[in-house]
Amino acid sequence: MLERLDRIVAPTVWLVAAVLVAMLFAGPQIVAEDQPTPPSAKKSGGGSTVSGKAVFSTTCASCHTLTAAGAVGTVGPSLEGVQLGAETVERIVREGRGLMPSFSGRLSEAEVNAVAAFVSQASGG
Amino acid sequence: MTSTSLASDSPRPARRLLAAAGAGAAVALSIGIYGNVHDPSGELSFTLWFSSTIALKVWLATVAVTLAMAQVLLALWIYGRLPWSVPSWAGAMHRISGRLAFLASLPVAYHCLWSLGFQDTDARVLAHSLLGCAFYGAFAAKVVIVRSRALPGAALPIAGAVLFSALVAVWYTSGAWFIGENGFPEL
Repeated sequence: MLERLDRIVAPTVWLVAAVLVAMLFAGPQIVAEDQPTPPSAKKSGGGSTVSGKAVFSTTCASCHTLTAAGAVGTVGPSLEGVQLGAETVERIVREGRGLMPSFSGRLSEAEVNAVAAFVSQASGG
Repeated sequence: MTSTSLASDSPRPARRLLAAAGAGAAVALSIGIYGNVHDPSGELSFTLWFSSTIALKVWLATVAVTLAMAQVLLALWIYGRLPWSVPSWAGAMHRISGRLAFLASLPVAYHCLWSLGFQDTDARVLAHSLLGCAFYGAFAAKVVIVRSRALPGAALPIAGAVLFSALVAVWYTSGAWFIGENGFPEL
């Protein structure tokens, strides 16, 4: 029974490994299909429902650590307890700082405002 | 003369051990070079059936370590280091637990490589990057050793121990660190 299972598991594992190696070179399109809906798409009627946490998760989380967003990025500084005001965060997001690029062309006004408010609140600012 | 001493006296085991070490070094270096050269996407977010990408990574890494611990225990059992008689299913279970541990590590490594790349922002991150490369190098070396006949008797246990140590160290510098800082993420 276990031997038979092993004969199934073995090629499956190698197949998965081969597919993932191929995808390292081909791109993440297959697995990225279940990516959360981009924040800019979460709008209804005349009001904006942009979630700062969602913007953070899709745009900032890979580089920054912030518990409130479940983010553990280590490329940039941790935002845990940094107590940044929303205006400061907005400016950094728009202009960039150090190695961090400007996001002014990549995020809408509403997204910048939302993520700034979220980071400010989550970091104790 | 035992088969082990025969193996040790023959030049072939040395060549095979060198081949295993070479395969491991090639894999570890390839991963490190890819992680360094590849421009990290920083945006890839896949969750499979978990609540978030970080939950997927922490849980799968923890599952991999747990399965690896089971594999080590089974290896000790198979080698007669436990006080109970070895059941017939121990060998198959040992192989399956190892394969599943490797399988569980793959999505985690994929996200690390594609989205984050090789990083050295602080000691923990640098150690994690190096150990991640070393783990898959050790895995490649162990696969070569497992499939080679007539190697010194200690080769396979040593390869297994190195592989297990690398996995635990990789997990300790990532999953365990995250759990220590934030607790277990929501499934």
